[in-house]
Amino acid sequence: MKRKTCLYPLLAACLFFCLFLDCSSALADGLEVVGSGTLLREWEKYDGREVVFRGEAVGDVMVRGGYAWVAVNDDHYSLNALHETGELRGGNSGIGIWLPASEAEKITRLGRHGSVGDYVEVVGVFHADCREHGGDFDIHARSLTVLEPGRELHQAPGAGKWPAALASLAFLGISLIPLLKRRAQEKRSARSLLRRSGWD
Amino acid sequence: MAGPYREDLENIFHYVGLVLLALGLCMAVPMAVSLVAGEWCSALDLFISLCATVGAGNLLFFGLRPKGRITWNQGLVIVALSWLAAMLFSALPLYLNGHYASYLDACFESMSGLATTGLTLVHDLDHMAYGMNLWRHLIMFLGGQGIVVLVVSYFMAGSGVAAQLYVGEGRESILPNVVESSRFIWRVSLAYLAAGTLSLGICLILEGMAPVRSFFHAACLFMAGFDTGGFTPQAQSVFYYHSLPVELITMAFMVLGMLNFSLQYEVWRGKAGELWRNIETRTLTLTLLLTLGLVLAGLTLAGTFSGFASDLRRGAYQLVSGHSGTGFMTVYGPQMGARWGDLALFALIAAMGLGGCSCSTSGAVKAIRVGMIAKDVKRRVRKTLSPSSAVVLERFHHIRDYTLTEEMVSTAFLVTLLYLGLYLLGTVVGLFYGYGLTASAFESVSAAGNVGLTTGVTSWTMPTLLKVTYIFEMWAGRLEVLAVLSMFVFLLGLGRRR
Repeated sequence: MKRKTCLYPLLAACLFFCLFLDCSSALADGLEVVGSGTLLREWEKYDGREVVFRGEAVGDVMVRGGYAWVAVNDDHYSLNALHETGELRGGNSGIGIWLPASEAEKITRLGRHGSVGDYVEVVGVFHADCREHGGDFDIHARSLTVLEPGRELHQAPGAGKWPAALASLAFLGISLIPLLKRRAQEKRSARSLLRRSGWD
Repeated sequence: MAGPYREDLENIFHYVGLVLLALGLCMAVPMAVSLVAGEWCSALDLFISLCATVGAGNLLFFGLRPKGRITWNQGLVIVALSWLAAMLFSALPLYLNGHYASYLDACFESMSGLATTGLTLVHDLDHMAYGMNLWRHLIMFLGGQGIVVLVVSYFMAGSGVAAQLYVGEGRESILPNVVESSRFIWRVSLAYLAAGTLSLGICLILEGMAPVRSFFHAACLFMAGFDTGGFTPQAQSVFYYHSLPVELITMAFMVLGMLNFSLQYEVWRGKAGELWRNIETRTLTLTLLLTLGLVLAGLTLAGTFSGFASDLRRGAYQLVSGHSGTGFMTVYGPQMGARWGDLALFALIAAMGLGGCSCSTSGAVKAIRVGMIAKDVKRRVRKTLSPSSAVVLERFHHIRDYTLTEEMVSTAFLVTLLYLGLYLLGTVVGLFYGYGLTASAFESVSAAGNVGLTTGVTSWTMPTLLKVTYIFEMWAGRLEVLAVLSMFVFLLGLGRRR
């Protein structure tokens, strides 16, 4: 009985270790997870080193030969979609990832309007001045893992938008009154002119 | 200028209304795109803004009746006020769409677009709707070609007010008739738009993008590049594409945008020799080469990149972008601020401050004024070395031959001085808020010269006064300061009369 009690924490520890290994295999390799802000500030420290970068795959996967470019954003919106939370936290920030096309194929959804892109983890070498790409600031990734698949965002206009649309339409209608008045006045003047000249 | 009467105000706001009417109708284009793309929220935002803008335009245009011909002063005030009104109304859909923290930020964005600057305060651009993103680029196209030019050419032919408005927007007449000149500018621009979108679209497809997105990006990049604006559909600017062909094509757009329309008209007529004889192209070539040399020297000294090829690729792109007043970037702003070194940044500031040709979409001092000032310096040196009785003349060629006169030189000096004052204004406000001298000067020249390059100062968190200062700089810089000064003199007159 006592031996069994000792076994449970051991099993739990093993399970936790396996999960940890699965979702963060890079950390087990002793690699550091870095953000784009850190890479911009401390580029000398990380230049030429293998790093782990996590974020939302956005825009396009641009396949060139056996490789592909994909932009990965690690900003606030990569975890909290603006159209869901409404939180404004500045512009986007991320980095271009150069990776084998076969790895890029794992991306099923890209972050664009109306969709949250796959949240991915890439492991690769960071270049503050990439010789292969004419001085690019990029990561040459050897692997990509989708940590969380992207999803579609359902957007509906805010509650106040429909009344605002009706009000603006009404305003547009009212704004035509001076034009209609002017037309009527011009017609009247033309008629009276014709009448006076005996044409009517 | 005498103090304004009620008739002056009616004349002015009547034409401001017409500009708003045209602007509002243009909102139908991105609204249609949003509807096709199924972006209902964005389409609704554009619909609300369209109704409000056209409504306001109707009230002013049809509600007020102009009395008599408008004067040159009124023309300048109409242009300055039209740009302010266009900023306020084109900011509406941007603000409603929820990608801007305040209406002021949306106004900053719209003025940046209209004045073809390219500085941005947008949040989460990478998830913005197609329609709204197109609107950002379309206002850049409208501003670059001149919204007032648009109105002049298509709504006011034969009205007798075209010349005043046309000149007020900083244009020179290409053809004897300003209406014909305006129409020429629009025809050429639309032809370029079609050719540019097609060529870049094909290039982007070859670079791995999907066809529909390729042509959308190509159209946006053309509008921003040719109009030396600098907005891009993705947050990473042109850096997003990681493509030398894209960089070369967008560089060609920028060069095309910084050239004088009159010059392009001559070339289209088969007078290619004008390219080499014109004072503007000569000055521009010289200043481009000089500043490029300085940028490359600065990058080499700072050891920013590991080889000359990278120095050339990054340095030349940022330089052409800065000199043309575009603001496309193939490096990160903070990366440029931190790693490029003072010499390269100084060269970029100088290039941004000089700008492209007159009667182009470029901002800043402009090559013709730099050329005339240089000619005057040469004339004065020659005069000093000549006998006192000698008459020393300088000639230059700009479409036709001119003899440099004192009036030309003093006007060139005056406008240059006004621009320097504008650059100084933003620099002082930046310094007041604790930004460094290089960063403050860089951002100020970028705003006033309608460039759009940034070292990271421009951000939604920057102080409100700095945002307002940059808006003012973009507006005044685009209208070559004089129209804005005329408006202030007009407003002062209004105060006195009361």
